Amino acid sequence: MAKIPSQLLKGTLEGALLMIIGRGETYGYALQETLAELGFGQVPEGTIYPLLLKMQRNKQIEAVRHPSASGPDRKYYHLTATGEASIAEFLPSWRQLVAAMARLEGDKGNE
Amino acid sequence: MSRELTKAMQEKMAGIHGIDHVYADTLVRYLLSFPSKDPRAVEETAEAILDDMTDAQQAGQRLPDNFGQDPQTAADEIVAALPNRSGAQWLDYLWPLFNMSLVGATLDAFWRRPPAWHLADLTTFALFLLIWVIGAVVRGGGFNKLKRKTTLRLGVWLILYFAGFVGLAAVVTRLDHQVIGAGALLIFWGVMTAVSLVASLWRRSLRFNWPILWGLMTVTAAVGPQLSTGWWVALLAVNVAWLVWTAITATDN
Repeated sequence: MAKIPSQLLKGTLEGALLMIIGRGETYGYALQETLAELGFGQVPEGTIYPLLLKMQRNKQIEAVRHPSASGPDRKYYHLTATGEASIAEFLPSWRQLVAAMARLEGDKGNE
Repeated sequence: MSRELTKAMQEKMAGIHGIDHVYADTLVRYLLSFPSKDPRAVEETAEAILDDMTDAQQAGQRLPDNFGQDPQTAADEIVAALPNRSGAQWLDYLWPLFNMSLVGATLDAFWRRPPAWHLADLTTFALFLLIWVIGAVVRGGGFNKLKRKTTLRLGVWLILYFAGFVGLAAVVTRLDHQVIGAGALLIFWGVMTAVSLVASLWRRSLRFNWPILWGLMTVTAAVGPQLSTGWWVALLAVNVAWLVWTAITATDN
């Protein structure tokens, strides 16, 4: 799978992370794996962590430490009501963008 | 001032091997080198990153591929997103520096019998600070490539500091007849004992080591001139041992 340019990812990654965390409590490495499985490519942890910290600061997500399935305590993130509101705000904009791009692509096909 | 790795970080780091260990160690030490950031948030973030790095290595990934090929830029973005220290956390951080500075500034006076403070003692103190600052820079700047702006800024500061140090030495050698006597020094050390005692009772994180250190210095300076050389040296040794212990344990904040 081709690597998505980081500039293109930048605007959508925060929304994508919120949506993944919204599916259920998760942690940093699992987020990275899920992004890869979904087709976002290998997004570096160094890109994910600043966003997680920013989302924590904006109270969109909360972090708690508890034992992991594999053993010792680790930090898990879960969505807050503010995070849910952010997703609700992000999705219409995203759909509008996708629709606009699809129309553009369709117009190109009809030329 | 760069903080040391916590026990939890060291344990997590032990699970990361080879060249990746150097990568993780450099990154975490870099994150710990920013005193303006909330130390608890820095610790939690560093530990979470180490957990993920362990997972990545176990999954067969190299850390530069997992975390990023440009760790300094990523680390700078993480640092920018971390919350700043609160006022209380600043107090925890600066209290040891404040106490250590005053101890350092009066340490030369403390060795004399009877105690006496000369203006030239400031040059010893300035040299002590310079060594401390260089040590902090060396520990904090672990990435192979420090940004040019950072290198320039550090260079300018070191040159300014060295010029200030030379200027200070030149001035104090002319004014070295200025002396503060044993009476004033005893009052100063006594006041510091009381102030640090009240502070440590008010806020536990400010630690009880400081009033003990100031109290020891006050007692040693007060009774030192009457003691035989053997007893005086023994008392000085107790002071030095407590000072070293306090300095080692005082830099966790």
